[in-house]
Amino acid sequence: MIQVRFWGVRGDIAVPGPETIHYGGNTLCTTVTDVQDALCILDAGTGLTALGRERMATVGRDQALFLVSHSHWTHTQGIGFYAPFFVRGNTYAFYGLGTDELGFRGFLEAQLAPALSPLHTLNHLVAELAFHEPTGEPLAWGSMTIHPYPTWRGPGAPADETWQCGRPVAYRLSQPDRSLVYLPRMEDPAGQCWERLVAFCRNADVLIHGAYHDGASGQDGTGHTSARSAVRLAQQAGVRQLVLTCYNPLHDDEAIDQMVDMCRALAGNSPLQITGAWEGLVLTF
Amino acid sequence: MQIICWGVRGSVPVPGPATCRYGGNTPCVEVCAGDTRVIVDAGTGIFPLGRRLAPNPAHYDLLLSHLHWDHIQGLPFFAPLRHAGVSLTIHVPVGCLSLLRELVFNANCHRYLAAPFGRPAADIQFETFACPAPENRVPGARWSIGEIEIGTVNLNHPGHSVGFRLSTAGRSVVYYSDTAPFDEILFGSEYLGQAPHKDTKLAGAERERLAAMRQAAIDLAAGADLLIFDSHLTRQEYPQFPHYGHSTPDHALEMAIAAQVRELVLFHHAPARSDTELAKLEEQYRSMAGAHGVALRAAREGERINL
Ligand SMILES: [Zn+2]
Ligand SMILES: [Zn+2]
Repeated sequence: MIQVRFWGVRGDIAVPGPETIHYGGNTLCTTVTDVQDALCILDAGTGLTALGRERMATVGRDQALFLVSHSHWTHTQGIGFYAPFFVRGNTYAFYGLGTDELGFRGFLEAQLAPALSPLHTLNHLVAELAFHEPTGEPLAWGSMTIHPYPTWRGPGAPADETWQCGRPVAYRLSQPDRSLVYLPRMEDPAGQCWERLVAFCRNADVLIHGAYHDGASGQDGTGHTSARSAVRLAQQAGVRQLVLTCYNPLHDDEAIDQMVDMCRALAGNSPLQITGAWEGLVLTF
Repeated sequence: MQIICWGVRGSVPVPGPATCRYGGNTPCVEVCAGDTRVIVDAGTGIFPLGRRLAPNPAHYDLLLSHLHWDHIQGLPFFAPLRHAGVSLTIHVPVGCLSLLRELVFNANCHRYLAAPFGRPAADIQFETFACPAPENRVPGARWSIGEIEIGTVNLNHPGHSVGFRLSTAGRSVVYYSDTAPFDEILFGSEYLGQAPHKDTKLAGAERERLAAMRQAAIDLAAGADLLIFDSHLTRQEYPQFPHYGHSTPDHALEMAIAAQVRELVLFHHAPARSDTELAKLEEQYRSMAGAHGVALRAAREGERINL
């Protein structure tokens, strides 16, 4: 059993207000738990604040694996507001990319520098935090195996090609008979990474993918993915359920409804199931 | 003079049904007088403001109180920056310039937050101002932006934050968004992760420094029509978080009375504070303020205040 819950579904910037009440205005944060309650936190946007409140209220000792898909502030800005980080004895492992000079931890430290954050440094979080940079090697967490994937990798690239900072990483979380792919952003301007990406997503039960714009012309080049290419990827990879997230902050609830409808129309009579993620949505499979 | 609050929340934006009435965006206040428009701070509230303004060619001035994320995180998403023909002057405390440049407009687009649309099309200029420590008895910088006169003062906040007075034609609004009370701890950039022991006594020099800071803040706010003041913590919460660098409505009211302002605006609401709780606080402090002849409201997103 894998259970997924959405805490934040926005790209770029949080957008509070009555126009975003249904889907939610928090930046990216999704949790995945297995039957033993091993917790994976996919991205640490502002949605992490509410997750922290819930964990404080419901678990004694908190432990989690953070998988950061992109080290942009949008995906990490909740870190200072996750209350369990201020509790001694809680333990966390983080995976994500930093720069060559700073590494992943140094990169996050730079985002919390004294001029920018009253926290000043990760050392002021009393919980135990360990930081790692993903490689091609799979990780084990609870009953799940996790494969990080460099979304920018094209054909002919040597297997040890460096994992570069600022580029979006995807993660595939699997149990022997089921799996989920988390791919909120990707970088494939020339389309040369497509085939490998399709292979990475092959036969996943659930694909969580960005739907920042509808895929009409003139919207590419932001590093965000379109609803249209999400449907294409899900269909070509034989995915069972496509779950859209990482919405454009300009899109209100109505605009997202329309985009989800458009995706369903594109999928036509194919068995692909399409869901627009909202804050609070729980999927169990 | 017209004032619109576009973001009123402290620390982190909090979308959701519990914040729809007062608003969940981080600080951004728009002040207009005649043809002059000054934006104070660039929290997520600057995003809805930018949607309202774009794409008209125009000039804007932005004052930044400090670089804590909640006061700058909206800047790369300020829509007018995408348009050539728009010009923006960003006024920052002198020590913040290089970091701000790197943060928001870094060409490689990857570090920190950087503009999602690459290099902004708008013409962006930076102006720095000095805000000397009040114990030096040197007043903070003063200058004019179009029809609005700006005055500055240092506040009691980790990493320093600046308070502003904006005045025009006998009307004025004062913005003290991030400050601890002036009778306790911190100023400057030290981190007080653990609350100091409650019996810890401040050294005489520290007490004097804080007293000078308080006096300078009162002097700058004296007689203002509107005082926007940090009320992040309630009186009951404060003892748990004295190291946060934020105030209570009680301290805000004390300052409003001391500076003889006409109206106090409670600001920088705590992320966990629901609309219901805020409405209760507002009512409670409104009657307390009324007893001293001070009007009071809790800042609410989108509300227009005409002076
Ligand atoms: Zn603040
Ligand atoms: Zn601050």
